[in-house]
Amino acid sequence: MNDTVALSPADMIARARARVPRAIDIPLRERLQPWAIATATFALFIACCIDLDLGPDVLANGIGKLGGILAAMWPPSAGGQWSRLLLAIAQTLGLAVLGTLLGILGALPLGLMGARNLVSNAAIHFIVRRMMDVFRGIPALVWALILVAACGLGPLPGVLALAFADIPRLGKLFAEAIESVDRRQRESLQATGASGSLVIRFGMLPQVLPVCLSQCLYYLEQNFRAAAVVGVVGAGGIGFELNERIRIFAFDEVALITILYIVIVGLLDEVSQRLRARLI
Amino acid sequence: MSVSALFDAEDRRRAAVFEQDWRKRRLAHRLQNLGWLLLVSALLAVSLELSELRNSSVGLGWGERVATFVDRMTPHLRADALFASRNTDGSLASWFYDLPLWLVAIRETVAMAIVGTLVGGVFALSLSFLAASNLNANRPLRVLIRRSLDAARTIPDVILALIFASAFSLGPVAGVLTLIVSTTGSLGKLFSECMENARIREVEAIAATGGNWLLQMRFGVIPQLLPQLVSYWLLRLELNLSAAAALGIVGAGGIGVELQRAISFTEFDTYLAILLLIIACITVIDLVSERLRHRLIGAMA
Amino acid sequence: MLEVNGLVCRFGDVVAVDNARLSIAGGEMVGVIGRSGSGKSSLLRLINRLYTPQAGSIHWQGACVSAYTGRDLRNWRRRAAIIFQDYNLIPRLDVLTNVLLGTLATRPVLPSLANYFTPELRARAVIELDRLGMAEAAFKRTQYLSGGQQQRVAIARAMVQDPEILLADEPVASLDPVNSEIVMQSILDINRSRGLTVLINLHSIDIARRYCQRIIGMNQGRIVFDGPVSSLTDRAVAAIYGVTVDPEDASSPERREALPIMEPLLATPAQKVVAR
Repeated sequence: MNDTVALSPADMIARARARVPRAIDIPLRERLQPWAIATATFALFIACCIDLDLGPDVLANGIGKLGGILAAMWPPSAGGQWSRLLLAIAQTLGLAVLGTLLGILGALPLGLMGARNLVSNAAIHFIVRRMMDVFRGIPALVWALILVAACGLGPLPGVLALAFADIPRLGKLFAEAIESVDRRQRESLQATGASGSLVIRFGMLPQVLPVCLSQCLYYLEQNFRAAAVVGVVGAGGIGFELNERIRIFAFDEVALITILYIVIVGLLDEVSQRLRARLI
Repeated sequence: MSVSALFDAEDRRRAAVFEQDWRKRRLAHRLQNLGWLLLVSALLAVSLELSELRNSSVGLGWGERVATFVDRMTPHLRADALFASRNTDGSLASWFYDLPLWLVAIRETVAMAIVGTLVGGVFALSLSFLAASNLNANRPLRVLIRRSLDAARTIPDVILALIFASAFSLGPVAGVLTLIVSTTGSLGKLFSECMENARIREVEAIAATGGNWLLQMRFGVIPQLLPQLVSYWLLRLELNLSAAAALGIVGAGGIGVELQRAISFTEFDTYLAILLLIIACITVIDLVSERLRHRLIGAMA
Repeated sequence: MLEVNGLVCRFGDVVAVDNARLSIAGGEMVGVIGRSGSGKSSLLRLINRLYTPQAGSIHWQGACVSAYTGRDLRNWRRRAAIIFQDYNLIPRLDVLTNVLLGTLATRPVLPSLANYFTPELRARAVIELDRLGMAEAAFKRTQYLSGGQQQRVAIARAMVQDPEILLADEPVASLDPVNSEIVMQSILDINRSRGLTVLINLHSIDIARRYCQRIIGMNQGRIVFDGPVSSLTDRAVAAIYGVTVDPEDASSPERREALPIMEPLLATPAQKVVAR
């Protein structure tokens, strides 16, 4: 009844080859391509591992020690310094809030200048966007290191570092948000004879504001993490406390601070995500 | 005829009712805005107080301080000696005096980023299938994996690097492991979100032909999401490059170590030189990955 | 021989299939009709075991299919091939690979994961495609095909599964009349030339009458009609679709006008039924 099953494999292949040759005799290039990509990726991986002296022996050796560290983390302990730890966490969060705010203030003019539909001067637009692209890649920690050297230990370099890192990233996002404004809403206002500032107030702001606010909140979330990082090089807060304890192998206290921090940041993320969902 | 003559008493009554209602709404709206303003101000005040920014001993001589600093950071190049040898003051070569060493360090940073993103990406992909609610019906396992991914994302990478450094000693290995953990966390979340938006039809089709779970993922999920997954992965590669550069500052290998060294010897102009190198490197990777993204998305099936 | 007994399937409070009982002999072509939401789609998915029944049993050639798990279950899904209303092809893969996915259950997993299929399997896929007139498109991505072409690829995929029964869930509901004809004719050919049992959900009574020997009617999860096409009277149709029709008035022209939705269904000329 089922004649395809009745055909011998060789007959089937011959029939199919006559009909669609490429399905049976796949070109060599096509057959080798996936293997070539896989081999190249694997070779790159191995080369990098060799360059980094990352071998199984190094890993095996370190994992033993890491196990010891993890064991030392239990039970977590505050070391009798609850108030100090909570204050450090609060400080870190404060750092994040101020850094984000400063970053937003700095990013606003750049975002406005980088938006093609606001600034018609192509040179300004190009330079601003390029600069933002270039500085986007510099992480807060790199800024913090140089700023601590410039203005001494303390929260000020931390706040500035967070702001400097955020300005180009937020600026770019602002510019993109402004550029994606629906033209028709602007035009409908221009058509009523509204002045330039009124067009911006009613034709653009209602569209741009929620997007920008939501991005600001997202960066606040990110800065709760980054603020702990800049603390390590001397900007105070939780990063400083953790660094100190890791250096003296007080891993039970490290565990407590980390867990506390994860829970608090998780809760703040939750709040911020709800707010963002309501904004958009 | 005046305009008001067009409206009768009933119209005016209606207008008055509307006016009253509108005023009420406007008041509520303004109160709400005021509430937000107060909340944000309070948050700022508390932040200012907590961060002890007010007490910072910046004090006098701000302008002078910045000027000195900027002066020390800018290289003192001389036009006549620009291309002279390393030993001549004011030449480019004397500014970038340790260039070969820095290039090796940059290579190390790139290698860290590549290994971290590759391994982290593989972990993230494997875990994300299990973290997606539409692909894994085992709820306890799913929640466990999700929480672990969240934790991996939240622990600041520098702290992780310090912990790994105490186990694996200072150097690039600690940095790579840090990148693997943070990449697994962030990509795992993004990937699983992608998968939760995947069309279930194609998975069902593979199930209906008798394919097992692995095959359902391989043919039902991967082909439809590949472009998104690859874009996220390449984006992560770029982010990991700057993260790898930063990790060196706490001793986890790569170019960051040189940054830290430049600061500890107060060679601020060297710091600027290395920073320029990092920026150049990030820009190159940015361009390459942009190209790669377009080609891969076009070619892959 | 497919035997379904007391089959029940619930989703929360909704009863999709309620105490279904039916028996289909080998080689039959059976159409299932009913309103959308009447449970016909769930019935097919239960038989293929994409859904698991809460009660009742499904037997095929005497073996209890509803108890299968693991490898047996996957093998049963291969033997009970299903084609879907929306084709359910992988859009980014080419036609040949899509067809080859029908062979997954019968071969080792690792080569499949690497997307490697033997020349013999590829030849088989080409021949199945060729029979449906789709061999030329073997290397096109399925997302660039028309609906009718996609459904034929889906049929080819079902055929390389070497199925013992073909389940078709509204295979022509998304197609225009010309493509519907082509796809229905392909399914009929498969039923005749290979003696394959076909159970097919249809939204159009007209098509069901023309292509099927036997009709099953479902309403609110229950099987309310089961018999040869000739016994599918207007009254039976009305009962299946949950419209109460007065027996005396059913055939009167005024009554038909009062039931505009039923009009095309009731007006089907009896001579169009394919006699077999």
